[in-house]
Amino acid sequence: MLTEGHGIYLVSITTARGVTYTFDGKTQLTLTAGTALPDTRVTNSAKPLQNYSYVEYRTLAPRKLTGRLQVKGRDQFDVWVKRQEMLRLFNPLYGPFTFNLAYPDKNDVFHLYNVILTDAMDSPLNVKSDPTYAEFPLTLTALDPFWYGASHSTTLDIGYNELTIAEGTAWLKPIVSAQGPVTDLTITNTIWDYEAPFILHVYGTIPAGDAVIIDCRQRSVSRASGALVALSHESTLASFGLIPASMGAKGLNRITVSSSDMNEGFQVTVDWQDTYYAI
Amino acid sequence: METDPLLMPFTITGVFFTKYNNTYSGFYVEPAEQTKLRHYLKPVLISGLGIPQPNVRMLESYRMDGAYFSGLNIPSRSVILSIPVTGDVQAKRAELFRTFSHDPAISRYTCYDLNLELSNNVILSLHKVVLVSITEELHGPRGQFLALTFLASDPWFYNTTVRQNTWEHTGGFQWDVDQEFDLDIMGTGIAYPTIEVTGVVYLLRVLNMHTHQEIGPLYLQTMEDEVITIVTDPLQERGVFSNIRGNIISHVGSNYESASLDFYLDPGFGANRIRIIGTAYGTLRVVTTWYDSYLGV
Repeated sequence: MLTEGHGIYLVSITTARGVTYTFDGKTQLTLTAGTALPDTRVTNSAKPLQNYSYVEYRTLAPRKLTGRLQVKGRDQFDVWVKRQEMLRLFNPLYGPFTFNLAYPDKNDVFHLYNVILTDAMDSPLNVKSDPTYAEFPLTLTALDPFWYGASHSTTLDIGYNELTIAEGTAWLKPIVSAQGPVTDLTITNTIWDYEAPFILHVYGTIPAGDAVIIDCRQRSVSRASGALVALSHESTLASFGLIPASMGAKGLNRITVSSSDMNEGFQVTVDWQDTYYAI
Repeated sequence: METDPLLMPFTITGVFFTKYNNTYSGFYVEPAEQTKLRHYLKPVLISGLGIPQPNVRMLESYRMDGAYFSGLNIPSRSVILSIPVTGDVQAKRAELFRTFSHDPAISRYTCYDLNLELSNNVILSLHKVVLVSITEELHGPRGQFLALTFLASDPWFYNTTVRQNTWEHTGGFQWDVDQEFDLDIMGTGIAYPTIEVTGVVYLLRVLNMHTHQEIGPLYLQTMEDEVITIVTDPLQERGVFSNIRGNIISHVGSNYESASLDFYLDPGFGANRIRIIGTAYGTLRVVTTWYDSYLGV
């Protein structure tokens, strides 16, 4: 490492085109801000001439990250090559990338998705100072504001399931995949008895060999075969999630899987990552 | 495949300007009237060589955390040169202002290319910059500097060496063309190519298989010795031209890229694969020229 002390050491970046770059100490990125709770957007509801309002809902704004990128070259020629490599790595034209980082004293790796450079990335060339060293201040934005940890996957039985989630500090947005054949699939998650369950209801028949994939993080529904598919109007894709223990209800998710017709080969899989407001 | 010269060791050895010293009549300037004057500067500090601030467009959705990524563009670049001054700093400032002066109303006709000379014989050019400010930085009698700020509305650094690829194929009297070739694009910015097609061809289509862009079909059967030139550079006169018929853009199909000529090469994919489709008679030749560009140095 070039420097020691405060900061979080970035492990690697995976670009939009699938290339992973690991910072090796000759190049190093230190985050100075961006691990805490990001800005929130609160929607208030107020009545005219009334002295108070109430919060209707709250969402997180894209996460801002600031950091410092240091580049050390063998000589003045080498540092220019490394500058080029870094400019290519953070080139916003190549699309958002994935950020993978770890605290130096822990084994956990955290991920940020859809991260992109949102301010200039410039390192003034000073011919009088050390020609083997360049430093770039960085401003990045994570369009998905959550930090993601370990990945998990489980298969749901037909009927009632209990899924207890211990890790994470934010609602988990799962990817629910259902392997056909199945007709009119309904998946509900009841967390509190006094509130209506979250519902995912897929109209129509998913034949054998095909699958429907409901990505709650991307808010998308697709079929493996590429055929058109739609959720029914009663579905709550925008809010469907799994609750972790830190958010209440002891992290217990009571999930039911039902359908009007299902046959051998039908299977529902839930994939999720531990999700954090802050790390 | 060639290696990008900026991924081989280099340093910046100098900065110089080439001036477009035009005389103009009406709204048109003859390229032949552009004369280039060189003004060498020896800056001690250059900033603005990296990635300029992008305009990132995000889409927010009802009750959704974060945002969707919609796209981005790079609007412009500012480059600041700090040059040391000995003697009368006011006189030097006035001299520099005279050198780089321009009429703001017609700045596109009185502007400069800012060129970086690299130690590996590469010259990177920032096209058509204008001087926007000169500020003094005084650090005692022995430390006087002038900071010159230039605005580059085209933010790319262009390698001044032209790149060219020639593809040629001879078929029968009448043959269906469906051929592919690779363009070895380098750099970190997109490049807008000029494509010259020579030969008798009908329903010509030019596709970039990596960016999924297509120009064509050209609803026209070209003649022997006719050269079709597709100019995609937005800073030139974009269009589809024939050396015999003139501008033939109205004969080109109506998909997005054909209408806008927004057809480019993207080095992020490595070599870009170009596909040529049509019906040809005899020999068909496609010559593609472009300049590699860089988002930062």
